[in-house]
Amino acid sequence: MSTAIDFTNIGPTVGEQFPDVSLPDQHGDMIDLHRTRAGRRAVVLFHRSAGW
Amino acid sequence: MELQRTLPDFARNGIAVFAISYDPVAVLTKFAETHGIHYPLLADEGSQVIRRLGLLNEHVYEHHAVYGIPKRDMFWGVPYPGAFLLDEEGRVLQKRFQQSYRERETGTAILEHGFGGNSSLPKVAAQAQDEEEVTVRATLESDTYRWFQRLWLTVELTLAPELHVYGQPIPEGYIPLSVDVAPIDGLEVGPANFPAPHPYHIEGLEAEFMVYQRDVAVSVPLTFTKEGEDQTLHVTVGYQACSNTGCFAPQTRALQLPVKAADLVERSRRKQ
Repeated sequence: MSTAIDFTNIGPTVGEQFPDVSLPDQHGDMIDLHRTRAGRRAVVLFHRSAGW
Repeated sequence: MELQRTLPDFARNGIAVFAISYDPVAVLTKFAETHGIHYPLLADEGSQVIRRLGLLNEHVYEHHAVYGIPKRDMFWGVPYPGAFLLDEEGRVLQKRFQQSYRERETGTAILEHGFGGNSSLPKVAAQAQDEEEVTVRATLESDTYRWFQRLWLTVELTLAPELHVYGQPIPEGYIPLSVDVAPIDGLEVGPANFPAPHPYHIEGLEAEFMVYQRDVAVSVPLTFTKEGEDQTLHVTVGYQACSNTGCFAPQTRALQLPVKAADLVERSRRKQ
């Protein structure tokens, strides 16, 4: 197995503002992440395909 | 899907849930319908956002080489698997990422370990108590395992006020607190996370000991890499409890935690 990946500096770092993200959801509606969050805390999951 | 089942708990804790993958909308529509998913599954077709955020998984082929999976273009464009936890202002509170795209955490782990919330999903627990007033409890964060989902096993000891158990490093002849999970085919047991012990002096002895007192929690990451049968985890906790005046005999506590395989319907649907 390769050496463990250090995620500290991969992607937005702790304490940083999470960037604006607008993407279509499963219904085809555009979702603005921060607007939809509406002042709530949030978890943003990145995952491999739902198709395989 | 496990996260969907945790969704009411996220809502109760005031936490919004989003998932991002490189799938086109149509794939996500079908996936959401099949699994009854109500939180937003966002379609980053072409992996633009994944790239912009610096999350393109450049190690995906290395993992495939390890597992003997042939190189195929469909694997390119996947993100590193993991989660960003955001505060009310939208700042990153915590990053919880996995080494392999195959692995994922439970919603319960994100909610409880990440946000300090409480999940209402069933856990399994077992407990043992001995006459020296040491209580040992083992809890698995879910009563159900899923392929390549990381489950945290937590072993908690509660010691009577005058007692301590030993941590590492430890002088020869003493027995440190240990947690072992018996091997099961297809079960990967990660390294146990022990809390930092604190130094302790015993009157009349020169050596300094590293010890735990009162409440100690040790967590062990478990990953089932094969789908199959319901299983029982056999957890062995070893320790020697001592006070200022002497030690009890070393103990090993065996705890059993039954864990169910995710139901066949869910699995067969996922393979389609």
